[in-house]
Amino acid sequence: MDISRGPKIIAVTGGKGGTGKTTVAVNLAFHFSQIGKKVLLADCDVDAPSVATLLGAEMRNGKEVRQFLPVFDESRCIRCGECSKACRMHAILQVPDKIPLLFPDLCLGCGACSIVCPTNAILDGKKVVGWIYETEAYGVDLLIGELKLNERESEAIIREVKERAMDLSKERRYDLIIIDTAPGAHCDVALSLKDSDFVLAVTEPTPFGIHDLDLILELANLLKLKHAVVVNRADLPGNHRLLKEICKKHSSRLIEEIPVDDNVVQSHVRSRPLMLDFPNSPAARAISRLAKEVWEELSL
Amino acid sequence: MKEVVIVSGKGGVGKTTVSASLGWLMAEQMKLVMVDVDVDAPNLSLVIGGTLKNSLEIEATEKAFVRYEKCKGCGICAENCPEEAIHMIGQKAVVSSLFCSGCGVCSIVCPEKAIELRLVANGRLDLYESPSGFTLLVGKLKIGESGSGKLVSEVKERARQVAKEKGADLVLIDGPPGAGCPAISAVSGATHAIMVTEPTPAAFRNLKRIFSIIRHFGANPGLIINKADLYEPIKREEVHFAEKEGIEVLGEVPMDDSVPRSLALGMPVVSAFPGASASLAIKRIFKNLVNYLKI
Repeated sequence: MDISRGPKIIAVTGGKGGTGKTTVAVNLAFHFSQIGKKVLLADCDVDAPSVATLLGAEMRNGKEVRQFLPVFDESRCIRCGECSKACRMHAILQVPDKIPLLFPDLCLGCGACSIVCPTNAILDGKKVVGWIYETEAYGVDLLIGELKLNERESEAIIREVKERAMDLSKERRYDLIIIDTAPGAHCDVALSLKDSDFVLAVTEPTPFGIHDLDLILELANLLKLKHAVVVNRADLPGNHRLLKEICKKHSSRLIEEIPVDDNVVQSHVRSRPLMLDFPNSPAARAISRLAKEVWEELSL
Repeated sequence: MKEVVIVSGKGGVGKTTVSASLGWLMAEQMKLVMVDVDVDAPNLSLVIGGTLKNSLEIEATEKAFVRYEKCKGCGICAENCPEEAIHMIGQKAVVSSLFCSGCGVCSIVCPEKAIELRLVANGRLDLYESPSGFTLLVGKLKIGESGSGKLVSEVKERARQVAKEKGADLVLIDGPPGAGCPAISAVSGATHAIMVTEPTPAAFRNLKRIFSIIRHFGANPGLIINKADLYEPIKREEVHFAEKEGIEVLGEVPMDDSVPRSLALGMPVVSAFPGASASLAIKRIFKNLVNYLKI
């Protein structure tokens, strides 16, 4: 691969929760690193990050992610209420002749209030909304975003994880960046998928898996991204015909099927890659076939 | 009226499986309104069935719109957009609606007053009446949309109204995964929050995260361990954690092929395979839950 073009970015997503996104992401990363690629694995499932847990890596000494939070300078505030009017989230209440009242839970951190304040009375309280951890496991560099408990601004963390990934990549010249996303098909997932070269949608053949696959493939198409479908626990009872129809509907292709395999749970409780401890297990063999397919896809 | 929300932290541990079966059992004994606020991936209707009676659009988010007859192409909006959702394409400011949070910074900084914010539909609310006599409300977020938390709050508000109109004893809410914005909105206001987990390291870690949210809002916590025989040592740790934190352990559901087979049939496991080991376990959990809720 031509390194001068920068790293290739693979996003692993899926729609439904618990389909095996993180298992696939972690083991693909490990596999590529074993065959000599420089790999960064970025966990963008910031409100339930599991990459570190699956690899037994510690999340310590995280770098704080901060976001704008208005703080009112009492001496400058003229109680005009412009900030309250500008805030579309209704996070600021102007009581006559009082300092504005802030509802921090509603604040998006956009800074509109400070832009409109005529007396520069709004300062940046720099609220900590989460952390980014940089570590390494089994030859894979890890970048993990974590949303602080009771905070809602997961997008701020995801944006920071992605920026940091690109910065690190300039230094370390990764061949591959693998992004693990949250379940669902909402804005956090859209932001995580954005700008990736290839999207892998990991699903299962159950009605829930198929229903949510339909949504995530629609999102990938809206973002004009190249995608393929991985069916995990492929031998679960389900509807394979419908699954293929959904793939066809979104011009996606079923790239690999991973069978139900007890070794996967074993690898989880050991917090080690499946491909390391059980390289010949059926699931591990499927993931190495998947890696080959993905690499071919990226080299096109 | 009791409001019970089912959450998990980690996705895919069996929230909907458990919710569907508990709802099915409850409907036999009491007036019930069920709600699916996993607005990104709402699946409850796939197993509960019912007839779609009503569907309405929900406008819970605003988006920026450029009035091109006024836009001079200065690019100040794009420079100031905190979401990086505006790009200059030629001499035109183009808003990527998917990434716009509706904060309005662009409309404030635009020297030409060429940007306005408009309410847009970011989701819908579907109302189903099920053959067994209960009402199911389903919130659905539009693909890639923001404002899931607001949509969750909106759907819950409607559910409370419907429950009042129908004289329901209980609102049972199937929540979203994670511990972010939609999960916070789902837990807020609930009298009881039941966590579903499985004995794996990732599920346990994220169980602790969602429990912190539950504690913050003061809902009475309960725990159900699904696929309980997956790994004994972590199951023991989870039970120990629950006891230490004052979480009511409502019971365990064993691994059972009947569960995926019932899902494939589009039925709650307790109705498809009432004698299966998972069904018997859920029936025991149901009894414990009824006692815990004091209904």
